[in-house]
Amino acid sequence: MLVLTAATIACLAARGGPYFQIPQTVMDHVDRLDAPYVVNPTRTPLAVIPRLARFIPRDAEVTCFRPQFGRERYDAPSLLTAIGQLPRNRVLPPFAVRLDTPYQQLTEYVIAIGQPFQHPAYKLIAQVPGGRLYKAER
Amino acid sequence: MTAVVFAATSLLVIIAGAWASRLSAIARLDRRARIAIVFAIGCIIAAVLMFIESLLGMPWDRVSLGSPLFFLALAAPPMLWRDTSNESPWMWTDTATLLLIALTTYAAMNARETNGDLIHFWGPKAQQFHLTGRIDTDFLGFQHYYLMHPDYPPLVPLVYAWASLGSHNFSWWGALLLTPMFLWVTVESFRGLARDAIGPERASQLALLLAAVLTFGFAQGRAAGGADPPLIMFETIALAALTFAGDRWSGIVVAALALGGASWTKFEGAAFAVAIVLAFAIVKRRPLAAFVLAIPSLALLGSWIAFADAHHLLDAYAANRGAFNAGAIPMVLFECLKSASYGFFFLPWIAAAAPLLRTRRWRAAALPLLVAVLVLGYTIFFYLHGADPRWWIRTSADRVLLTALMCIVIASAAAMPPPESRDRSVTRMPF
Repeated sequence: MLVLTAATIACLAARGGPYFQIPQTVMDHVDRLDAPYVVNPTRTPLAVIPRLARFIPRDAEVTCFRPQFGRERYDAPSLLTAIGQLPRNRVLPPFAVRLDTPYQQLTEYVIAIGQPFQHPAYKLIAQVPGGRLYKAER
Repeated sequence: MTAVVFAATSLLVIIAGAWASRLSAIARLDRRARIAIVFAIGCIIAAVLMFIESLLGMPWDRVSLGSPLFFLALAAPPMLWRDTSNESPWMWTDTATLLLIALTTYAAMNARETNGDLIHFWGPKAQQFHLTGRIDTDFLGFQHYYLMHPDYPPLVPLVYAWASLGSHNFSWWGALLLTPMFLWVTVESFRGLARDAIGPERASQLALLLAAVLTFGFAQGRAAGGADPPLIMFETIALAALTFAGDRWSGIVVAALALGGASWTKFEGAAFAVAIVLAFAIVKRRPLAAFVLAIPSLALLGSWIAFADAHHLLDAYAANRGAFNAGAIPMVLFECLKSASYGFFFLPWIAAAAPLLRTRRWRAAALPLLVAVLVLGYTIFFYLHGADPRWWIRTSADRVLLTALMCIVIASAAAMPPPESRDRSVTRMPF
């Protein structure tokens, strides 16, 4: 049993420090902080979305993803995280922010995790480390 | 602070379940175990209450949920809180168990074992249910939220929504704080139920073993905030009640209630209920008792499936999760074996089975052992669905296999000789 407890402590310690600081998000140490991003795809959205939420009016439509080559892509971890972090908004998948989407149908706000989002109809309105908020200019 | 209020509010479910301490299988336990089992049953009653009010269109608030709670409190016998002549002495193993629970509390609150499912669906569902004051079927049925599993059983988000009433909002940290609480309830319930059969000293030692196995499993499988801790809690109570008090009707009733809770917690909970009813019918040969065991699970799961069907939410329960893939058997077995090693050479399995291997009283441990075999069977069967279940196994098997580990710890306890016939040379524990 002592070996099992030692294994538990080793397992928890292997996830990296700091060990006695209040974490920023509930996912901070599920993997090492310096681990590749893909290991824990919800940590950055969890850190970014609450900081950008104050720029988004209540009931506004929002989408959230990690852009690829500046374009939208379906990113389930970011989308699901946004649903939980923005309970007073309507969070939609990024299907309605394509280049060929009619302007009137564009999702009003885009939270881009990591890379910047490039779309002629969207204007950057806020930026925090790890993420940017864009608003559609209709 | 919100997290503490959230967790403290969840403790009010004890009032909802307090009537259960009138059952002799619970009344005869010491106070710690009694309160632990009452908490677990209270979670089920609170969730059922919220489900019924949702069906009736009554929004949840402190009045609509507080009023029935008042009447449930009247049904509580005063002995729930009192010391009885049946109290167990405090032992060093109880202190060691508390230290393990403190380790889980640290790991959960330092964000070291958070379950991704908390962020992806349990949390958002609970939050939405709290904000709308009902089971929000529009939210569950929104096609773009399909990955949130619209028809997953409702107990976890309902318990979180209950706790949110006290903290005025859903608390992500509060949900994590409930994990050590579920662990404590699991361990204390097991200790209390096993005590009469194997004596307080052995029961406390094996409760420590269960705590060590689950603390490791929760850390390795990143279980905090997810549905696995409450699922293990219900499963442990059900199996321990049947193993150590299955010859009494009150023990059957406690097990049946806990199985109902398991069926309402996770998809696997219903499979566990089937496994345990089957194993009980085979080992004990009491068909009427086996039928009684299944009643709460059938009623709760049946009502949830009917509700989901009425709102067009059926998905997993309609077997929409990929076709059976017999060709994947070698890969599934290999991946499951890899997950079962927990990266530490099967250490938790060795620890869980060590007392059983020493005593070798296989017949006494037949029920939990058969349940463990059936659990492994249905786990592999579930993973044999879909084109490539590799990712699914890698992200969930270490948590799902905790059920089988728990069964083996209970088998180890069941294999202990009764206190009066104890021969120390035979039963001495390996720690």
